[in-house]
Formats: sequence, C-alpha cells, structure tokens
Amino acid sequence: MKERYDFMSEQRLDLEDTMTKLRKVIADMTQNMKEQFKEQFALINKNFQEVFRELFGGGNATLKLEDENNILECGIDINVQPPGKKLQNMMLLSGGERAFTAIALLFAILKINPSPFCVLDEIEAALDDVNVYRFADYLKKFSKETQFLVITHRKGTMEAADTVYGVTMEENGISKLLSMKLRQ
Amino acid sequence: MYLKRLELQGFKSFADKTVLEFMPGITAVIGPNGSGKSNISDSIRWILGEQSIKSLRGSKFLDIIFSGTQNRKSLGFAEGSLVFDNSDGKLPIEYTEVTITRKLYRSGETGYYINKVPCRLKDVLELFMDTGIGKDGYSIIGQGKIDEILSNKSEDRRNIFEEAAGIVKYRVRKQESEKKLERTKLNLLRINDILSEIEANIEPLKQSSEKAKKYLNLREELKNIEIGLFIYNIEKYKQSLEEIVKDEEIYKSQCNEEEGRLERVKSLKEELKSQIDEITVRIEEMSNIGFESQKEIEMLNSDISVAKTRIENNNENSKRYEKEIEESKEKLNDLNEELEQKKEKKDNLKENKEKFQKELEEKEEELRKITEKLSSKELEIEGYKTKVSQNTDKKYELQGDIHTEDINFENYEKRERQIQNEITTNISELDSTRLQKEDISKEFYEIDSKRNKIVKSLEEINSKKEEADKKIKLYESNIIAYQSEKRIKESRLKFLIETEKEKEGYIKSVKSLLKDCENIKELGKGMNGVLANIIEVPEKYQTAIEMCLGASLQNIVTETEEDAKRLVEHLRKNNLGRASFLPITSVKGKKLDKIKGNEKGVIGIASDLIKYSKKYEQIIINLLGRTVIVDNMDTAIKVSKQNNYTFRIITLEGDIINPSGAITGGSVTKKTVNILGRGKEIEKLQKEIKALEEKITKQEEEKKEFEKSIEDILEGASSLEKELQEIDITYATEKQKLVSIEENISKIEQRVNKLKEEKEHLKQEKENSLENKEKIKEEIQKLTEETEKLTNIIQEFSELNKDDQKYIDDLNFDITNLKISVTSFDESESSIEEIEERIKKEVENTNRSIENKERQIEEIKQDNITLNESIKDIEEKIKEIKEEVKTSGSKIEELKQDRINKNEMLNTKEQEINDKFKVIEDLKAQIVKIDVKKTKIEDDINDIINKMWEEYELTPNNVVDYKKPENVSATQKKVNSLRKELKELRKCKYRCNRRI
Repeated sequence: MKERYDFMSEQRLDLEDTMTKLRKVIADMTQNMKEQFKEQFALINKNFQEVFRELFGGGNATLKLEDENNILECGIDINVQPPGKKLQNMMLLSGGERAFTAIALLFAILKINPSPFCVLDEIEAALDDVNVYRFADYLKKFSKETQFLVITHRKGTMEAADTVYGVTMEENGISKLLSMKLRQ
Repeated sequence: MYLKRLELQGFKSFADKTVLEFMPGITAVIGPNGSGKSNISDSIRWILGEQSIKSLRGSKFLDIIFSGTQNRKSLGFAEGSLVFDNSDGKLPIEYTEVTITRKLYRSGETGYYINKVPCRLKDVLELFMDTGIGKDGYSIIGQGKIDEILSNKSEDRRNIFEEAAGIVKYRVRKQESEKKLERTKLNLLRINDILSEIEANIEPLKQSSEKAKKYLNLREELKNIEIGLFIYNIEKYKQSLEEIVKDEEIYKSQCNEEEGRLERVKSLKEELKSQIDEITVRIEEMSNIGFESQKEIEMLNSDISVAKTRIENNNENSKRYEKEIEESKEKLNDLNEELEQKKEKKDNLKENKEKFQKELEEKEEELRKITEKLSSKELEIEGYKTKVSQNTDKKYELQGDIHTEDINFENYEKRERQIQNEITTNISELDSTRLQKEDISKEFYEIDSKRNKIVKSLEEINSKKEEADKKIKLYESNIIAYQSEKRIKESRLKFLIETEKEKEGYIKSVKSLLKDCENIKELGKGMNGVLANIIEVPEKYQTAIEMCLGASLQNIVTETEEDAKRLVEHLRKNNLGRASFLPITSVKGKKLDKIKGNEKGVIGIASDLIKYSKKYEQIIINLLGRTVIVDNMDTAIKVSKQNNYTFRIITLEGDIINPSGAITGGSVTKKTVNILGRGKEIEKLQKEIKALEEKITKQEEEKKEFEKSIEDILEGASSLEKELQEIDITYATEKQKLVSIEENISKIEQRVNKLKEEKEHLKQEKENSLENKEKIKEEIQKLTEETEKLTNIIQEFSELNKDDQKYIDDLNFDITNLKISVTSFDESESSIEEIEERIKKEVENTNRSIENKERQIEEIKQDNITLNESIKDIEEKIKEIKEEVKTSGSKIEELKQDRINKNEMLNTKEQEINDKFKVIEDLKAQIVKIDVKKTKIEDDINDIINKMWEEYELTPNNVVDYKKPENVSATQKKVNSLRKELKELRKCKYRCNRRI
C-alpha cells in the first residue's frame, strides 16, 4: 500500500514536470513560428513587388498583416496599384487583373520556396493574349526549379510546354489520354 | 525530386488504367471542355489526402469512383498513385523512388500506401509537410483557387502563406503538444484521486505492522541459521564442479590435437585436388588447341579458294575491257570520217550563199532607182486620194445626221399628239371630280350640323348630371358624418354600460354589495339601489348636487330598516367593509319653507331642482331639503347672510357655504366615470343613437329616391354619347373623303399644267430640227462637188504610171525570194556546226573511256599479283599449324597419365580423414557428457543463490559474516520448525490485509 502510495506520488511529480516541459515547448515553438513567419513574410512581400512589376510592366503592390501584434492568427491584406491606376483593394480590380495578381503572388512564393512540382488548373484563362505570353515566359523561367503541370486552353501556354497530353472523351463519360511529346 | 508518373484507375472519368509520364519542365494538359482535364488535378489532390469531397467537385465520396455509362458497368474501387523521384532525398524517406497510393472501395473503405505499404493519412501528410506540396499548399492551384487567394476573407489566404513560410510543421507539432498537455492534465487529476484514496487506507495498516515485527524477528533467526546451511551447500557443490572442469579440459586438449592433424591432412588433399583440376584444364586446353587449329586451317583454305576465284574473275574482266577498247577505237574512226564530210558540206553552202547575196544587192539597187523616180508625183496623188476618201466619209456622216433629224421630228410630233390626248382626258376627269366633290361637301355639312346639335344637348345633360352627382355626394357625406358621430356615441355608450355593469366609481364595499345583491336574490330583496341611481339631475346642476351630496351619493336606499340590517350583516360576515343605508321607512326630512331676501341669483332649493320617484321624497328632502343652489359665490354669501346661516348654500361650480358658515370650494377634477350622471347619460346616448340611425336611413332613402329620379337623365346622356360616337365616325370618314377629293383635283390640275408646258417645248424643238436639216443638206452638196474634181485628177495620173508600177512589183517579188534563200543557208550552216560540235564531244568521251579501261586492266594485274602472294603465305601458315597439332597430341597423353597417379593418392588421403573424424567424434561425445554434469551442478548452486535472494535478498558475496553449521542435519531440523511458525504468522497477516 505504501509502495503504491509512493509510486503514485512519484508519478504525480513526473506528470507535473512533463507539463511544465510541454508548456515551454509550446512557447518556444510559437516564438519560432513567429520569427520564421515574419522573416518569410517580408521576403514574400519583397518578391511579390518585384514579380508584380515585371508582369504588369510597372505599378506597385504590397502585402500587409492586418494585426502586427498577432501575426500567427491575423488576416493578410493585398493592396495593388496597376500601372496608371490608383492604389486599391483587390476587390476593385478587373477579373483579369485579379487573376494576374494572384499569379504574381504564386510566382513570388515559388521564388522563395520552390515547390518540387505545381499543378495549375486553368489559372490563366482570364488573361489576354499578351499577358498569357508573359505568364508562359515566367513559367519557363521557373521550370528549372519546379515541375509544372498546367491544364490549359491557351495557345501561349501550350507553346511553352515541353510535353503535351490531350484528354478526349471518345466514348461518352470516359476520358482518354493522348500523349504528344513536342520538343525532343 | 520531381513527379515521375501519375497512375489512375477508376478515378472519376478515368475508367481504364491511365498513366501520365512526367518529365522535369512544363507539361501541358489540353482538351475540350468536359473531357476530364481537371479530374487529373483533382486526382493529385485526392492522393495527397484531400478530405473534402466538395473541393473534388463531388457531393458524396462515392462520386470519386467511376460510376459507369450506358455501355459500361461502374467500377468497385478507385485507385490513384503518384510516383516521385526522390534521388535528391528531399522527401524524408530512404527510397529513391516514392509511390504514394490511395484507394477507395465502394464499401467506403479507404487506404493510403507509401511504396505499397499501408499507412495512415498522417504519414502521407507528414511526408510532404513544408515542401509546398499538399492539398492546402500552393502547389495545386485549381480553378477557383485563384479567387480563394484573393477572397474577401483575408484569413483564408493564411494557409498559403503559412505553407510558403514553412511553419505548417510547427503548427501541427504545436497542436500535438497541446493535446498531450491536455492528456497529462487528465492523468494528473486521476492520480490525485488515487492518492487521496490511499491516504485514507494507511491507518489500519499500522495495526498489522506490530504483528509483522514479530514475524520479522523470527525470520531473522531463520535467516542466520539457514544461510549458514546455504553456504555449506554451495561450497560442497563448488568443489565437485572444479573436479569436473579439470576432466573436461583434458578431453578438450586431446580433441584439439586430433582436429589439428585432421586439418593438415585436409589441406594436403585440397592441394592434390587443385593439381588434378589444373591438369584437367590443361588437357582440355590442349585438345581445344587441336580443334581450333583444324577450324583455322579450314578457314585459311576457304580464303585461298576465294582468292583464286577472284583471280579468275579479274582475268575475265581484263579480257572484256580489252574487247571494249577495240570497239571504241573503231567507233572513233567512223566519227572522224563523218566530221570530214560535214566540213565539205559547209564549204559548199558558203559559196552558194555568197552568190545569192550578190544578186540580192543588185536587185535592191534597181528598185531604189525606180521608186525614187515615181515617188514625188505619187505623193501628190496620194494626198488627193486621202482627201476624197475623207470627203465621202463626211458625206455619209452628214446623211446619217439628216436621218436622225427626221426621226427626231417624227418623235416630237407623236409626243405632241399624245400630250393633246392626255390633256383632254385630264380635263374631263377634273370636271367629274369637281361634281363629286360638291355632292360630298353637301353631305358633310349635313352631318356636321347634326353633330353640333347632339353635342349641345349632351352638354346640357352633362351639366345636369354633374349637379345630380354633387347632390348625391352631399347625401353621402351627410351619411358618413352621421355614421361617424353614431360610432363615437356607440363606443361611449359601450364604455358606460361596461362601467355600470362593473359598478366602477363606487367604493369597494358598495361595489361588492351591489354585485352580491345582483347575484343573490334573497339578499337584494328590499334593496332599491344607490342614491345616485334613483335621482335624475339636470346637467347644469350636476356639479353642485354632486358636491353637495358627496359620499352620500353612494348611500344605499332600502325599503325597511330590516333590509338595511341584513345588508350590514352581510358586509360584516364577508368582511367587505362599511356602507351607509337609507331605509325609506325610517329616514324623514324637513324641507326649507322660505328663502329670505329676494336675490336674483337664487335658483332654488336643491330637492326641487332634481327629479325622483315620489317613493323617495323623504330621503331626498332629508338630504337636500335644506340646501339652496345659487349662481355664484357672491350671491351665496349674500343669501347666507340674509338668512342667518340657517341652511346650506351651494353654487353651480360646487362651492359650499355650510350653516356653520364654513366654506368649502375650489376646483373639481373631471372624472371619466361619473356615477351620478351615468344612468342618465346612458339613456341619453341611446336616444341620440336612435335619432342618428333614423337620420341616416332617412338620408339614404332620399338619396335612393334622388338617384331614381336622375336615372332618366343618365340614360339619355349615355344614348346621346353613343349616337355622338357613331356620328363622329361617319363625320371623320366624310371629312377624309372630302380631303382626298380635293387633293385629287389639285393633282390633276398640276398634271394638266405640266402637259401644256411640255407641248410648248416640243413646238420649239420641232422648228430647230427643221433648220438643222436644211443646213446639213447644203454642206453635202458642197462636198460632192469637191470629190468629183479630185477623182478626175487621180484617174489621169494612174493611167500614166501603170507600166512602172508593174516593174516595181516584179522586183519586189524577186527580192523577197532571195532574202528567204539567204536566211535558209544561214540556218543549215548553224545546224551543221552543231552536229560537228556533238561529234567532237563524242570523240572525247570515247577516248576517256578507253583510258579508264586501260587503267582498270592495270589495276587487275596488280591485284592478281598480291592475291597470288597471299595464297602462298596462307599455305605456309597451314603447314605450321598442322605441325603444332601433332606435338600437342603427344603432350595430352602424358598429362592424362599424371592425372591417374594423382587420383590414386587422393583416395588414400580421404581414407585417412575418415579415420580421424571417428576419433574426434568420440572425444566430443565425452565432452558433452561432462558439460551436462557441469550445468546440473551450476543449476543447483544457482538454485541456492536464488533461494537466498528470494528469501533474504542476499547474495553469496554478502554472506561472509554468517557461520557455517557444525551439525548439518540438526540445523536442517531447526530450519523446518522455524518455517512452520512463520507460515502461521503469514496466514494471520494475510487475513489482516484482507480486512483492510
């Protein structure tokens, strides 16, 4: 009985110890996250500005944390200024401009932290022909770092591709794949 | 790391197994809308652990599985695999190729696999964490994801940024730690519970501890004795163990020696074996050499035959070439002859040509002379001729003009006649139209006057109608006014009746008594009601009487005193409060006889001013018989002074001067519930309402009557309106007709005017045309005269020159013939030159081919020489090889003999080895036996040591202090008895524990 009592007391001490350790770990981790996020966010912001200027041929764009004191929970604002227009919120842009801004953001992120591969499902559908070619050039530039799988209807993008797959529906309801390798 | 392959089977529209191979770089997927392109990106997201069916564009999870078409059955499962190349080790796993597979069965089972090994979703997610790959990351941007990035909710964008910043891993770990913390807290709580329980149980334990102490003492004693025994036993065992170990060592050394010998023999045997193998290899090599040499000889022989056939071929070829050269030379001779011939022909042609040219020059000279002679005169004549032809041309032209003028004239006349006709028809039409117009306008005016009449009468009727309408409206507004007044009164009446019913305004005791009397007939017998209800006060005295009576207004009038008594008892019994009663039989009063003075403002004695039933006279006199009502305070004061304050005086405003001289007065609050006038007001209201109703019905009847009376007027108005409408229609059509006819007339007049103008114009034209014709005729006359003169001159001249002309013609003919033949000579000359050229070229070609062939013959000769030499070489080589084969055969025989000897030696060695093996086995069996004995003794020792540990927690090292027993068997007995006693104590202790 006494043994059991001693054993349990020991266990309690252990648990209390564990709890304090865990609390410290969580605090450390939060601090780490904060620092890393802050650093990376600043980088993304810088790159976003660069990429935006290159894609739009001028203008300005910034990312902003909504609450500087709570960077791990707060939202993120995007303010953009296409060339020759006023600084405005994303919502006021035209559909094509918005898509293009989002693409700029995507490329900015890929620039810092290139993901091994990236699937893009008709994200450039809203762009005009000139911008599709700019988009395709950028894709090519990044394709050394990142493998791209682009689903597209646009000629400019297809021209940039190394491999093209065609999907058809010869039989109703069943997709069929055709391979057409291009540059070899 | 890159994506190598995507394999799909049964995923959405990909029914058959589909494999997409990816290369680094850009891969595009294209296709028409609805072909299933986006299913590819969906599949990738699914494999990477997407849980939301909605984001995979489905409504339930089974939508993922191919659901069949008209021609195809649905499938039972969906499977997708992503194959990554991980040779750069970016994924934290040790494989260079990583396959992630996800399967979903129709039964709802789902599974993830990494390299075909089943795993959890968490494993897959962790594998890709912070690589940017993942269902929430930025690696799969689907349709609509763009909008999400830019969505209104800025919090939604965080996911992507977090993935990009690489903090997702931390976030997940943090969540895990938080969970762990939560669990730890729970555990702590549980342990605290258990601890408190244990603390409660500790007390009873102390009691048993004393018994335990005794137990321990006994045990200590046992320990001392028994351990001595143990030590004795251990030492005994150890001694026998040492002996056995010695034996074992002897056997082992023997065994080792034997094994060493065996090894030596074995190595000797191996050596022999390898020697034999070597010999066998050499024999084989030798025989192989013989075989190969045979092959080589055959090959060389075939080479020789090849070389020989080639020499023969070469000889034939050189013969053929020589023959060809012969032929070419003959051909060359023929060609040279032909060339000679052509040259001769060419010379002939040149001579002929020169002759013709000379003749041609002479003829041309002659021609030139004659033409010079003729030319001057001829030029003159030529001029005349052209003049004549010009004149005739002009004449024809002018005659044509005359003709056209004639035609024009005729046309003009025709047109004139036409116009005349048209004018007459138009004028007659105009007349008839004018007549028509008169008729129509007459009709129109009739209709117009009729219409005016109707309009006037309609206006009259309308004004009447308006008046009637006004009157009806008046009636209606009256009715509405009455009705609203009635409604107000009715609501007031309803209110009053309600309050009367509820006895509102009475004090509580009176109210409840009245109610009870209504409910209980027995009680209400002899009760005549409240004073306020039995008197009727004219409105102007209401305030005065109310003030005067005050609380007495609520006094209850009864028939007899008995009735009053009963009611009082009822009040008391039911604890309803107090009330005053006025029994008719007992209350008596004295009325004022006379009011002194003769003031104008005195209205009268109050009891005279109100109405009441005779029955209550005494009561009223009692209450109001000595009260005088005056118009105002001044009068009141005067009267009271004049009468020496013998009665009460009250003004119309309710101010009171009492007989005592006291004055009561002031403002009176207006009450909604006035108990005094209530009964009267109800009656009045009812009467008024009735009157209003009568008024309303009267007004309505009047209105109805009036409406009936104006019905005729209304009917007349509507019929007139209808008539007017009809007339309006005919009026409009007639008017239209009139206008159109007027238009018609003006049109016809215009037309006639135009025609007249045209006629005038035509006359002018006709005159012009006649004049023109005359002029042209004169001109023609002039021209014919001139032409005649000129033709005469030409005639004369042409007769003079007839001969010369003929000569010239002949000469011209000759010249042309000569020119033709000269050019034909030129042509044939050039053709001959061409032929010559061709022949020369052919000669050259033939020479060249001859040279070639001679060279080839030379080459063939050279070739033959080298071939013959090589044949000689080969034959020598064959001889050498044959010799070599012979020597190797004898050597093989020697080697074989050697091998047989060695094999015999090997056999004897093997026998030796077998013998040795037997000896070693015997020795080993002996060692095993000793080993078994040894382990048994060791086990015994261990048993004792274990027992020591179990019983007393002592090891042999700790027991040096304990003494060995002197008498082993006596000690054993003592140990047994002690054990028995301890056992008893243990039982007792067990019971104690059970109790606890």
